[in-house]
Amino acid sequence: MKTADDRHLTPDEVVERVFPPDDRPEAVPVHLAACASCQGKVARLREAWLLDRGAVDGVVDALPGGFWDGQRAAILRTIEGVPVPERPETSGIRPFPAARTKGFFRRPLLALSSLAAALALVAVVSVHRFGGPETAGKGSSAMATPAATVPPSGDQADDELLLSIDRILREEPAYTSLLPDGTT
Amino acid sequence: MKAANGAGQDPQRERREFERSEIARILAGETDRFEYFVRTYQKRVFRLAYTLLRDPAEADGLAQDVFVKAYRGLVDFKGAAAFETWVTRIAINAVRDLVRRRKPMVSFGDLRGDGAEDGPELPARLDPADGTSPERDLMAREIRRRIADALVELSPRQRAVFVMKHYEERSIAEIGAATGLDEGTIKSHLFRAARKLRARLEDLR
Repeated sequence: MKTADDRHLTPDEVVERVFPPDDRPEAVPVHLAACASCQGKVARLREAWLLDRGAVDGVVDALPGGFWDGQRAAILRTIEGVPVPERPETSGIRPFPAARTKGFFRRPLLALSSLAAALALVAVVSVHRFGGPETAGKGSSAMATPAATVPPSGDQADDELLLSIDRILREEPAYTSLLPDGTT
Repeated sequence: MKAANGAGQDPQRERREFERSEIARILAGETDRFEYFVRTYQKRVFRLAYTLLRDPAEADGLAQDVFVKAYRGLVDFKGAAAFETWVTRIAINAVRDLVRRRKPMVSFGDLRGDGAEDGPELPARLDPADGTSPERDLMAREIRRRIADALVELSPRQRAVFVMKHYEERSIAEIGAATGLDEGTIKSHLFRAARKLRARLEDLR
């Protein structure tokens, strides 16, 4: 019966001899030290790999100095048109509005939905203040009252607007989440 | 070749300090200082790109992109790793993106020029045709072709890990720093890469 030391290396073991998946070199199996056939397999694979590596090195080393100069010049030319990167002193603390605005406009979905929400809020406020189609249909009492036809003073209008917003924020479930904690 | 243990530590630290100060100067407006980084690392970046892509023109374009990206991202370079590690990471990500975009996958063999059946031209001292045994030369060429074909079958990340380990002789820790992968994942990639390689070489005796 053959022991582990007697048997030939499996193909996996041959590959792993040449391409060990670790930094530490593995101990040479006793069998490999004595078997010319297994040594040949390992040697052939190692030789082929070294040839491939050497070919890569050969190509890179054979490139003339002009190639590297040209590449460097092309890189530096491209960089000339690029603005100087932001200084690290300012990168730690970014001005709040600039960063928010940038991030905001980079997310079109968020921008659009925020705009839609704002428009909806304005529409609801307008409807509550001046009466929507429903109130108009009931006899347009709100529009017909003398108080509504007489333009209020500036202060009165502001008060009404603020009260309307407060009321809507409290009453409309869609906007209650916008209120700070403890105000409901 | 790796630097001797201990002896290379101080020069490395010095270089790192120097490079950090150079980056600060670039960020302060002395942009022409970036030439130092290009000059120092362009060969290394090109070599890595070429080993992974096996196409000089693609590797050249990619190397240029890598340095432009590095320049644009200098402000994000915290100095926790060496510039070389950082730029290597940019290069690996760029190769990965390129390989993913490049579909269908082109084999290394297809990338070779007409009449160059055996890949890039070898330096004379390495050319198997100089060998004494034609059979041995043929076998070496065949194995080499299969290694190249096996590499192309690897995922971009596996390929990067494999090339860094076996072609650039980087340690697992260095590969980890450059790829952001942990040791277990790197070993797993290496193991799988070796399995694919073995499958390619199975019928060779």
